[in-house]
Amino acid sequence: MVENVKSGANDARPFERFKDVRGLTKYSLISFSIVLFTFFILLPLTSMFQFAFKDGIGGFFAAISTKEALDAFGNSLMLATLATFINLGVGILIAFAITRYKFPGRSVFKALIDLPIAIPASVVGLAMMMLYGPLGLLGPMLQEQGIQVVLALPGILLAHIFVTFPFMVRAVSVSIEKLDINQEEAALTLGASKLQTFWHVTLPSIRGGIIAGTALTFTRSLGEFGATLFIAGGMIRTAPIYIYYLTEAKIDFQGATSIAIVLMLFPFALLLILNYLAERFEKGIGKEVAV
Amino acid sequence: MSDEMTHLEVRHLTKRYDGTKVVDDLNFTVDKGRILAILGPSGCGKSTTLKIIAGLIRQDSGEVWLNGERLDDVPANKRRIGFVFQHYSLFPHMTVRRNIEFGLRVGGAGPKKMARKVKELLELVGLEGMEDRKPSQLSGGQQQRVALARALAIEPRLLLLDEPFGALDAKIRKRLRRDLKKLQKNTGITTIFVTHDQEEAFEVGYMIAVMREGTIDQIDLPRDLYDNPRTSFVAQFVGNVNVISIPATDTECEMERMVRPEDVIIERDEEGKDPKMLYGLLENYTFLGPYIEVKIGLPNEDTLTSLMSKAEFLAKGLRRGHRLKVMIKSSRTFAKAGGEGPKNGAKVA
Repeated sequence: MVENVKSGANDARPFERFKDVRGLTKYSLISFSIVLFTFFILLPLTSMFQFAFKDGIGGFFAAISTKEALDAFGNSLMLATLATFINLGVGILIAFAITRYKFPGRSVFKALIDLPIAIPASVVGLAMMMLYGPLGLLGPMLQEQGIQVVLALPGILLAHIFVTFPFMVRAVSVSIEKLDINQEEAALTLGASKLQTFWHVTLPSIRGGIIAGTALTFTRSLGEFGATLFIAGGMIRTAPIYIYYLTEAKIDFQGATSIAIVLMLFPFALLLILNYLAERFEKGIGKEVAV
Repeated sequence: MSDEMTHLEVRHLTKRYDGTKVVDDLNFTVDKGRILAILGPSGCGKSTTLKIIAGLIRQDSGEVWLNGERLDDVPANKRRIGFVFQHYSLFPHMTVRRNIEFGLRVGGAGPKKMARKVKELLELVGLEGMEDRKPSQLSGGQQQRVALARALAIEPRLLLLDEPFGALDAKIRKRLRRDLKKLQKNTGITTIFVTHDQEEAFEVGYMIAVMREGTIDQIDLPRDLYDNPRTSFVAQFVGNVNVISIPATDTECEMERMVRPEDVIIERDEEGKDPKMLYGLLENYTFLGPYIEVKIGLPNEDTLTSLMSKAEFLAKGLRRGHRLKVMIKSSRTFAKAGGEGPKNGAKVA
């Protein structure tokens, strides 16, 4: 008996030592994260608030309610909303195409979808300029039809759709791949049409991916700078470009930081809206049947 | 079994995937109100067959007839064939009630009918009071009961179950089997039940079809399947069997002799030297409750298994190391797979 207890105590010691090492790793990792967080997120954000509110709350509101500021917010929100809606439609369709069906060149196509993430935004802008610009391949032709692409909103929207599109396809593809196809088959055998099956069975299951894709697309579009700068050429200002304009041309840091704070709040608002819609949607499931 | 009794008929069904025949010229019928158990190893094409019948997979050729109607051009959602999947596949965002109602709802049923049906079905599968649970709040066995209720809600003309208890543990599986059999008897719904579990097929199936490589080797009553296996595969797949190789001769190809353990009769015989008799050594024995399984070592190093009652074993006073006289009460001989010879097992005296 005594022997046993003794050997048991011996066994425990190396384990204790191992636990100490683990503790050391744990605390150094945590402190490292805190330091990083402080210098890369907390302090920069604090100093931004410091600049924005240096003339009090009145200065902040004055900066964000000028006509130029409101135009910039309007442009940004409109572009982000349009890009998100267009990518919702196109992205979900493409996500289904590449996850559910086999076709020649599918793997090449799948790899190419990520290209807009890999290409620097300024390159995207330059490339679009070369195609749709006054000296480009399609530019003059479209101009003859009275369609202005570059230096105008349609061009910027195209660029935004292009750079955000992989996010939607990726996010939705992942949730389609996780989907249990038998659920859809079960719905069919129970008499549901393909449309009913999609609406009542498929869509609720890929909802998470759609929400993630929407959030990513919207925020990416809001922050888009490089490609927009090339195509807008200073003619049209989105919020990020307006910030750049304020710092570079006006040397107005109070104004720039105020706009930046508002720009930061948009994604939060979007998440709240998405959560609300998701709940509404869940409650509505199965209540009425679309034929 | 007259023709009016035939409810489902499958004719010359064939399905290829990437050139491989998964279902190969398959033919069978199921009588009205009966359960057919399709028994086969995984990958034999049994699930594909079910999905073709349900309309979820399109066959390359062949026909499916249900109650005199050809189904091949009827889409899955118009066939009214209930399907239960191995992993339940309930709609995770819907409650039990909504899951069961689903088929009625898309069929345009009113709230009164749906409420009545849900109540009736939950009683039938023994899940009263669970209406408002989500599938994630149920055990595997309960989920499969909901899946069954959901399939039955549309009053299907045929019920297909694809390894329905395969993901459940042994105890629950046994209970669900019995419940399913009772439920099938009460509702009288024609059913096909797919499994790779021999015991399950024997317990649930009225008829059993043994399937291999896309075709059915034999379809019979369980007893006939056991006593009169038509191929070496059926003999080995259904129940236990001793396989004795018979080398090829000038006139015959290589053969295999199949002997059920209970047909191997042994007696202690330390002296016997009859050249026509088979002698062996009692190597080992295992108690299996009321039965005893005896391993017999033969002179050619093969091992035979014999099964006898405990009483018989004790009466014969057998011990390890005893020399035995081995008699084979009945056996069947088949040509070895790949070789030529009599296709159907010829009875060997």
